[in-house]
Amino acid sequence: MAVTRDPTREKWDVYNGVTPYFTHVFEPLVGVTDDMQTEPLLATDWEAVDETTWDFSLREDVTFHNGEPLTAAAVVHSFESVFEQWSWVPGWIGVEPNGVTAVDKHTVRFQTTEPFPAFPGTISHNYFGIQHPDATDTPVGTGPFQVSHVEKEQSVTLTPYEGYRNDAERPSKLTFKWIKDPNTRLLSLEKGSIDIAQTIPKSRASSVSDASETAIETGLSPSAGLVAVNLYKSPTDDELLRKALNWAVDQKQLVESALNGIGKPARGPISSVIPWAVHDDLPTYGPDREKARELVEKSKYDGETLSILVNSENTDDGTIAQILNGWFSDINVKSEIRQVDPASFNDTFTAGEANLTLVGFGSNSAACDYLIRAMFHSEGSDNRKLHERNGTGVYNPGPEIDRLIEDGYRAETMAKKREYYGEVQKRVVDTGAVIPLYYNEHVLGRQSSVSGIDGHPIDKMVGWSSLSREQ
Amino acid sequence: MNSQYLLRRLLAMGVVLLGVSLLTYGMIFITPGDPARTILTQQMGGQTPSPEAVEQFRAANGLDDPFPVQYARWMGGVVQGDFGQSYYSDQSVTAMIVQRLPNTIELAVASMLVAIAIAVPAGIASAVNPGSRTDYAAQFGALLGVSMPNFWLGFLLIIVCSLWLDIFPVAGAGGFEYLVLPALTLGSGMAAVITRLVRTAMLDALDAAYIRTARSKGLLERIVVYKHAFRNALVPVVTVIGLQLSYVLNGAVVVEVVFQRPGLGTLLVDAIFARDYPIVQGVTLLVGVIFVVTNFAVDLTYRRLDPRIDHRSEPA
Repeated sequence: MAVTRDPTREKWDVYNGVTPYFTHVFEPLVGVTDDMQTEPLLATDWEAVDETTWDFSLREDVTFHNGEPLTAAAVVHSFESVFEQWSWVPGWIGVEPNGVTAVDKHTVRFQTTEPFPAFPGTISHNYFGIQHPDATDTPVGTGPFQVSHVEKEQSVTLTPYEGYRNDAERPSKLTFKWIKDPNTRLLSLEKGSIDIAQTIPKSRASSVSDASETAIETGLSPSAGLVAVNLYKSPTDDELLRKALNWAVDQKQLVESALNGIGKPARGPISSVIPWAVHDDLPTYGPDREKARELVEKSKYDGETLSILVNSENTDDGTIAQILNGWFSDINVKSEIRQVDPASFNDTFTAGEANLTLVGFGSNSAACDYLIRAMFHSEGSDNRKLHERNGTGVYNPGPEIDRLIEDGYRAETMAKKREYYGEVQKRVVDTGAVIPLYYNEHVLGRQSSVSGIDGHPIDKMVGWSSLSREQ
Repeated sequence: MNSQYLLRRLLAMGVVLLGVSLLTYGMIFITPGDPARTILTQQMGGQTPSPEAVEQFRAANGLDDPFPVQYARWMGGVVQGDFGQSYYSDQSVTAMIVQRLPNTIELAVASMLVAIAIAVPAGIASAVNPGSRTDYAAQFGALLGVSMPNFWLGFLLIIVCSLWLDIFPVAGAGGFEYLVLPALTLGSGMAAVITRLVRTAMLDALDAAYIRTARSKGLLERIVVYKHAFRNALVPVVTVIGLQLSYVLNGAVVVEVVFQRPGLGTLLVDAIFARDYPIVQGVTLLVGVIFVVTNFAVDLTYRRLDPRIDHRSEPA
């Protein structure tokens, strides 16, 4: 299996980043279903004792790879290790200092800093896989696979953990090999030296699926690509112009031409795989370039050139920006593309330097609330800098949206959350604060002889237990 | 060469390295891009970090401090042999460099051997028979080698030697078989430059009076070419081979990515894109050290090759 990042780069004792991803060596307390809901994993259930207290009951049939049973004390130690190493993590999941305690042998209590109904979904992130207290250089988790060999900066090899609670047949050996360059990854797949290649470029996917020896697997993910429209910079501060831009865009054609047909044309900023997305209820635009031209005529637009900001790392975005540039030109709106490197991209975007920015947002856990907050709340990561500096932001439509997001964040049922967040989605689409583009599909390349990839919307959670290869 | 000269050179090397560190630290500091956000996004598997998390990360790593404070703190560690910890993985920069360095050295040495093995015979054959088919072939090969981008040649070699002929693995690091294609890719580019230089230097040497004298003494042409002319042609060649080290390090970045070799090149590129300052600084300083030491070694080699070059005669 070829992965895009070095699976050995992090330390195993206090893991971070990619190490716990993909490999299923560790398991979190909470799992994520195929429709992005929380489900029991190492915890059998959980309950809110009061507004800021959560009790999680642990499965009693779980052992670590060293044979020792899973206990509440081990879970507490695991969380504390992460907190100690990464001081920003408690803030991320909203937990009080020393807020993780063992109530009894199989019950763990979490104290949050404020009421946080989405807390169980937040700790379903692979970041919170439970590690044994003795794990140092050798990882000791509870997952279906255990680490048998680490080739530093190259690969991690796993074998099935015989004491796993589910004794179903699993591959006898799994190797996660780091191949960063997409072309090299593809060539390795074509040569047959790897069975599965992660993140196949969409532009090359058809060559992989057309070849008899190889095939692709795709899955709609909880991430979306969209244009963030700067509401506070001329000339996109004009709502008529923003609507005109929306009428000019043909999402279906964009997916077909720029993404090789891999992805779903978007109507909103939130992927339809997320339970509170309201894709079907959102207002629709064109494509209708004639109507778009009429709106441009009616707007205050005076021929000023719009800037389109693109992250140079995302080749698909470069192509999309060129297509958009052509469509905007069709409706007599001038635009120019500005590509910046990935590390500078966010600074440039949040400084409000561009009129239009191609952004992509996704979640790696069942709690996706932070997406809508990051994008549209004045204190969200995209708007905070300008909101604090001059009271604006980039594409946050104002205090009413802030209130809706805060109500949605506190909502205790999915129906209420959908109501509040749905209203946010309708308003941002209606006012042209975004131009929705596509809901992303992740792509895996595989040998035709390989089957049993257990798909999941979150690419980091795709399962390998049922993998097999025809001889 | 006297001890005063050595001391002067060592002092100059120290000043150069200090300048390099100040310049790179300054440049990465003013480059747009927030390390906290970039690294957190990577750690969280592409998920957007909250502004609070970003602030906590910045505070924990001293990223809120002004430039002089950050630089002084880093320098303070360096003089005690501590290059700091990677922001991303929290591992020691020294340990990460030590892990990667052998792969890059292996690639550099193998590429240099490939380059010399191609360039020296081609350059000599070309100079000995100017205007011949051999000469044109060598010059055309050199032009091709200089013009071909590393990544393109790398993929070409993978397609031909790995996919079609199935001789070598596509990518990875380990045994000899993993080294051949990367070394050929990197070495052929260097060979092109060195071939042209060997040719020119040999033409100059073969035209010199002492060669006519050697020939008039009735020496075998083989001895005239290899013992007399080639040795004298070596001085500029050694200089360029030394300077080609920069080419190896530049080229290693691309070649290591294409062939998936975990070396200093990929470490540096990843660190620059992630704004992982301690790694960028550590690797840059190491590259600086390699450069000044190589230049020094080249200077010393001059004298071995040509005793007429006397360091004592250099102006103070």
